[in-house]
Amino acid sequence: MNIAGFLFLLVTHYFCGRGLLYLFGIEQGKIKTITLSFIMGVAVASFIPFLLQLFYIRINTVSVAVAICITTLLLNIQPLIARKYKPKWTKWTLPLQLYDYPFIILLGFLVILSAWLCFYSPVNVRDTLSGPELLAKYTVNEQTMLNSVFSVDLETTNNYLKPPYLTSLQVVYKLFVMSYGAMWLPVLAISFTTWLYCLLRQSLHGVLAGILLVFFVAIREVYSYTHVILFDYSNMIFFFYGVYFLSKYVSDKKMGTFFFSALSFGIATYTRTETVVLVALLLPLVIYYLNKAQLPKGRIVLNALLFIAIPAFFYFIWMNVYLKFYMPVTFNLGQQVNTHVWEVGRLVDRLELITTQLVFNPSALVGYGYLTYLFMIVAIIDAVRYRRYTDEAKITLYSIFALYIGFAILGYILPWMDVVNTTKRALFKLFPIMLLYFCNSPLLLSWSASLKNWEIPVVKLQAKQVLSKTVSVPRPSTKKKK
Amino acid sequence: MSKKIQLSIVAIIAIVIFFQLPVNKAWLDDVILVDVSLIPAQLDYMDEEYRNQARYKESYQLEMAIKGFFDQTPSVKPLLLLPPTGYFKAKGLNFPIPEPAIFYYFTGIRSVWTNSKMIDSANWVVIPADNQMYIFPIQNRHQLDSFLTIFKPYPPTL
Repeated sequence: MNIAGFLFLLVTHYFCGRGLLYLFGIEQGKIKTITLSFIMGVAVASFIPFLLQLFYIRINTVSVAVAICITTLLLNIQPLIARKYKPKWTKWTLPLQLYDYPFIILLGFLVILSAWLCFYSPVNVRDTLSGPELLAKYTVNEQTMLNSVFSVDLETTNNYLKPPYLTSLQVVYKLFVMSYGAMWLPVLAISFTTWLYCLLRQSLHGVLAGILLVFFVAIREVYSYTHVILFDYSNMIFFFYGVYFLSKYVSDKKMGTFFFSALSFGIATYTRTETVVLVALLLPLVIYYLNKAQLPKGRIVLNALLFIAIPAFFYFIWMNVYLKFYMPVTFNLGQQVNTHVWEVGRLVDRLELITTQLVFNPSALVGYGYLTYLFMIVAIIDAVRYRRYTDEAKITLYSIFALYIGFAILGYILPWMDVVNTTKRALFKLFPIMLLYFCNSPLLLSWSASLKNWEIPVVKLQAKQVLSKTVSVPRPSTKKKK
Repeated sequence: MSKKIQLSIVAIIAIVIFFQLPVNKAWLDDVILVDVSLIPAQLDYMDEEYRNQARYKESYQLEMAIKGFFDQTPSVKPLLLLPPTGYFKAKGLNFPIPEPAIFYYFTGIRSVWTNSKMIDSANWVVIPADNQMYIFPIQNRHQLDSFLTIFKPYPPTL
């Protein structure tokens, strides 16, 4: 393993991501900023070999290093010129208590084990080996993504048609780190787990935050994709950030946050192109909140169009530009799509299949653990007992519903999207959104408050005492003014 | 006892209970602890070739043997006919035969399955017999047809 190359990538990932966050005016706590910078930096790196290929530039260590350095510089030029490079971090720091450590040790152990597995074992997933990894290996050998792989009999696979996210990252990490590539995935997994911990810890008591995150990290299927090289873990992360920053936009009303959400959905589409359909299902929600923000009608239409146009652009650049004009093989999307769209019964069947096979099924319990059931219980109690929702909670609930319907629609439109493999992994997107809901659940918030009160009792002042304290503040007399 | 210590004990109990739930316990015992137990041995075998062999097993050995054969004759440009997995199984070799894309990934050698559109161009074939592998050149169409007839009862599957 080339440690220097890995450090170079880590540093450039951080600065690329940090620059991107600055450009969009995203402000968070220190640890959330650092970890999100790494995540966004990995996303930026995933475009580099692909862009070099679009311009027919040879892909090798020098060209990729130069491109990474230029990108890092370009993304940081504005804060450097404005001399505002010192990031505007909010003052929140991680108030770690003794009871946080059992969870941190456990979570740290799990993510480090995952990083080791990713480092030690070569890629062993058919979908990756027969597509992105194959292309990445010969891109490194032949300095082009349009390489000798296309002279091979590819009748048994269509994985070479998958978006270039994985291929590009594998190329970058093969060139700079090690022949297996792979080490970008632990960067994502460690950063995302840490970021989620900060998110939960900000809203909930440490004991609740810790155990909820353990519920998420210990999902067998999701955990295995923290060290198995495939699209779905990354897709889950970027889709989640799309939802999260959309909910942030509703509270802070900053257009930077809104477009950062759209960009996150765009990157999610870049990892799996069909994600654009799921983003489209969120449009009613976007329009509702744009309308609620009392923007002019024209602005609402424009922003809603831009919101879907950004992910659509990522879809277009791969499907309609690269596949059409660069790939030495023909690809007919029409052949992949269900032509019997009037058979709506299939849609209902698919929905039923997802529900019976992936939710209420013993094998689903093995694969997905207890988080889904925990979410259902909490959501039902919230609905029955509290019946009040923050905007963030509404957005998470709508997103979960839209995804659930969206998976069925995708399976209906794209028959190759089977339940036991593709949809099974697509479901990952639901889980971090469930955690975001937990941060807004009245039930969990009240439990959290009770725990905090028990831990550090708050002295309850009587209303009169508060009033007397307030009155004691000297006020300018009206007589003096006269 | 301080409340923070009490909450720490609650945290530890919560984790213990979490891993007593059947699904989580199975995951911990069958996956996580197994992976952890393998680490000391893995640290002793950091060689990449060893790691590949440990991961890909018999298929990888087959691929490397074929690659070794053709590396000795670099002038040959083979398009290798790979028999179906079912045929290998019938011959007592119980491991999957890679698809052409994956075979190319490991060996850099182009290959075809019996149902390929490129089958007519196949000029070499690998045949298992007596727990051995034999690699033959295909001289003419008649020879190719006879191999295809042998493999016909075993349709290739992923």
